[in-house]
Amino acid sequence: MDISLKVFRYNPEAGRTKPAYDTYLLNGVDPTDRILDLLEEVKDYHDGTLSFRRSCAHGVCGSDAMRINGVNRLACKALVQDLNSNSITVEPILGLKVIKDLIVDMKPFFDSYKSVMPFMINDDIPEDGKERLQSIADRERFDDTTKCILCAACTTSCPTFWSDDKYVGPAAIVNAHRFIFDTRDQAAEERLNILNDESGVFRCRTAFNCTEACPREIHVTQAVAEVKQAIVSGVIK
Amino acid sequence: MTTTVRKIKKQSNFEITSWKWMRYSAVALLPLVWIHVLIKDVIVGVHNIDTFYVRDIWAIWGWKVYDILLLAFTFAHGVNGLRNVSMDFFHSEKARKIVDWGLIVLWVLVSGIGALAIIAGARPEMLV
Amino acid sequence: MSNHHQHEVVIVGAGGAGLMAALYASRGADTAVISKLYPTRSHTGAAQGGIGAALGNLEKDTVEWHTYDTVKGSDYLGDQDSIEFMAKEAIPVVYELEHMGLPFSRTEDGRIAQRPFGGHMNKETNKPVTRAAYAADRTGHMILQTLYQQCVKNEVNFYDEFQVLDLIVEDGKTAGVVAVDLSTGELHTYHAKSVIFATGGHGRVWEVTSNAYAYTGDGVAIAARKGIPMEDMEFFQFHPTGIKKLGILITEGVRGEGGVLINGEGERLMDKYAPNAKDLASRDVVSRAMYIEAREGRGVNKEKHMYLDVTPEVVNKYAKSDGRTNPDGTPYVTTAEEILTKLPDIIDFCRTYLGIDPVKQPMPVQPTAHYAMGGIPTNVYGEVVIDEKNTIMPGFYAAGEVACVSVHGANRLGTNSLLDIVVFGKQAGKKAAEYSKNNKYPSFPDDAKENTQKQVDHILNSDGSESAADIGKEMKSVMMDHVGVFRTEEGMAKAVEKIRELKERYQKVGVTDKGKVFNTELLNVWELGCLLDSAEITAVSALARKESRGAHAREDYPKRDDKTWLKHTLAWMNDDGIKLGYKDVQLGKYEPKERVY
Repeated sequence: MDISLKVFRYNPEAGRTKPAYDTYLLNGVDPTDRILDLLEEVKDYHDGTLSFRRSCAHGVCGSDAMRINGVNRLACKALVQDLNSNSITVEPILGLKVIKDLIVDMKPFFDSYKSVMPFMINDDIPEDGKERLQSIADRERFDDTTKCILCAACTTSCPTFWSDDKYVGPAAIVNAHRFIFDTRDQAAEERLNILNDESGVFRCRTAFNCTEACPREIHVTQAVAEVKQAIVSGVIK
Repeated sequence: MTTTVRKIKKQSNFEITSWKWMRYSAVALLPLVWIHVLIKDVIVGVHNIDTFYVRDIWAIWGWKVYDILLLAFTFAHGVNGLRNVSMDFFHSEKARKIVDWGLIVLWVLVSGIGALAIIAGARPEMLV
Repeated sequence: MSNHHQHEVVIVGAGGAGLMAALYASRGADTAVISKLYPTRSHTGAAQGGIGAALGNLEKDTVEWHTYDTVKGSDYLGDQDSIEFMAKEAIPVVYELEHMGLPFSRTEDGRIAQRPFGGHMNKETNKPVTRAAYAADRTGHMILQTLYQQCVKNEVNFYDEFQVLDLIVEDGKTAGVVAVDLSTGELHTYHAKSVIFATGGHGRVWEVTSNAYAYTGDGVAIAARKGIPMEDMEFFQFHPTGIKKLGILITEGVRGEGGVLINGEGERLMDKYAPNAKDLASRDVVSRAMYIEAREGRGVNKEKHMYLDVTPEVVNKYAKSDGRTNPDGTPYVTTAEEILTKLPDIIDFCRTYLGIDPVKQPMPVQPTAHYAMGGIPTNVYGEVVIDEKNTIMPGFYAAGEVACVSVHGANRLGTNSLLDIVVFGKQAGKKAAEYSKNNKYPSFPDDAKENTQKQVDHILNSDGSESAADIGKEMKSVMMDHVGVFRTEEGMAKAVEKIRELKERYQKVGVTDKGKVFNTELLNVWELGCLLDSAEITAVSALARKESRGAHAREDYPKRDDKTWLKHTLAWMNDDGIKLGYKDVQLGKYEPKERVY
């Protein structure tokens, strides 16, 4: 099939100081091709200057989150046939500064992630040196939020984040949730203390954009709500 | 299969209180608003409401309190919502503080004037 | 930020091996990690099934069995002392990961869950043993995330999105690296006492691969260009079950949970090729079986692929006929729900890329280029050894897929790669820190950048009469056809010739993007150079080895030849091509014998 691929372009260094779109006509596209395959095709044979991030190409590394026909997705997990359209528009994710074409500045995103202490705090090790025990149910409790690949699709789809980059954003909350609800962790109180102020969970207005955007199908809004609940009730269950 | 329940120290700050306030005030508003709507729109009917009706209702202290509460709660709920929206536009701590105080003053002012009006009551004979 | 940096230990690559090394090195030395990707983008995150360790949480298991299985899996080319070291270290290191917070799946009694994997056997029952500790089918993701989290906790220095382009060696001593900051295009120099390469593999040399775009053999190429030999590069593993055409990995854990390979005629094909271990025979054996079936016209619709069937009915049918039991002795029976819990990502991949539901329909799979057994030769402490006598190169370390210890020999067992990265990443990190404590900074040349600048300028100023994309495609195709699952003298000779021709043409590849900020075109062209070097070393090493062993299967020499070829290949790259040498395999208590599964 033939596809008209419209791509956001911006490269001040090469004089493209105003955001604009280039359109490429691609012939012989397979309906099962990934959007990433189309971008590679453009880079290989149409315009080598087109820049974007990618690595694993099957939805586990989180490099290629972008806006595809207006929705945040991973370019390697969106197939042409899923979009039901012959014209496809690809743009960078919103709310982070665009550096070049589809590449945005990820630093603020990772800074937010780091701010919630995304690491296990527990120095008690069983005397025999073996593993700490955890029941299947307790392990299952936080399974959903362990899936996060830090692609930023959720945070950059959040209206609160668009208007206020001080908001830690859903991805950071998801990663805090992963530890707060892990029975082995001992710093839930500190993490909740970080998230209970005006840059934290209370800025969430349950727009559900994040849940819709997550390529790993994490129930992001639910995770945020569970964190709110833990803060208000003082109970983690 | 049950999960382990853990308790932590309950936390408290302005954001938590304000978040709770939104929920609790919403719950309080439910009966207040619904009773109000039921009486004014269904039982009495809007077309039958005139200054004489208002005078009679506000002659009763119970209704005075009810209406003052309704006003204070709805307006506080709304103002807190406004405060949340304002954070999208005011990012510095100082600006937010000014907005917060401004909104509180607005709330006190509007609720105060409203309460004063309700307590004073309606006097339709003055209009005649 | 100045463009010159000094750190006692510099680690290149931030996958499992690099991050584990970083955790250990940073405890004793000023450490920095340089990575071309954000660390959590590394390919460790794509590993699925599990990490091998004889914890014995579900049934009896021993370090000795693990050692033996790995030796046998390696087709006796693995160094037995190193293998034993790894199998022994496996147990504490898996517990250590748990202590770091890794969310392993759990058994009924709350211990780390384990599942069977190809080539891992219980010596008493002679059935596959539950040795692979796992976290659903996201074990690699969890390892990568956990190690990165710990690095954040320990405030390790990271240079994210910096591509290392050169290793600086001064008077035979490692002195640092040169890297380009991708976001600015500026060259940075790093003066170091020790450098650890944890740069991953080079699977992008082949057409159908489970490997990430970033897997371009940078470490192999940079080291080879510095005169360091590459060990056993002819051994590259083809994983039996990649998604048809795309090559995306379908974990061996699917077969661990009872999944079965079915040919186009509806027969379970492994009955013929591995009567005992069947679908859980080692990967080289299964890949070859699939390849033969396809060649003899028994592929699905006569094509190249087979079906991997994990629908509960089929799993239960074959589990019954195999007499498979649970650890408590009851017959093994599974349900769709259980498969969904244990293999959620696989289900997701199939739904996304194939539009099928694996608990209802079989998955079309074919062998996919997966893992480099060969690489930079090291000892068990990650120290790079540069000749037949295992002479150590001061200050240079390698760990993970880029390294060749050699614990995988001619064929790696499933779950041993995740084990390799954490065990040897840890050793390399410790050793590098120790070395930097006991040694002064070597002198650092003023013209350190020159070699790199020349390479970059050459690409920028080339007339661009050749296309990088075309050269890449031709390389992938010739390597797939002739240096893949089955090999012949004629085919490999053709491949060597072709790669050399491509290397000539590569000199004329240019770029249209002349900018500095995120010039990914320039980066891709430079990476293609690394791929071509990796391909050439692989093909030349393979052509010379006149026997079949592990992943190196020759149709003209179908038998293993221990008399002549029980030795490691060493390949030096120089201006006239590749020079080969050989070194002894460390044998031990397991005498080489015929490998039957």
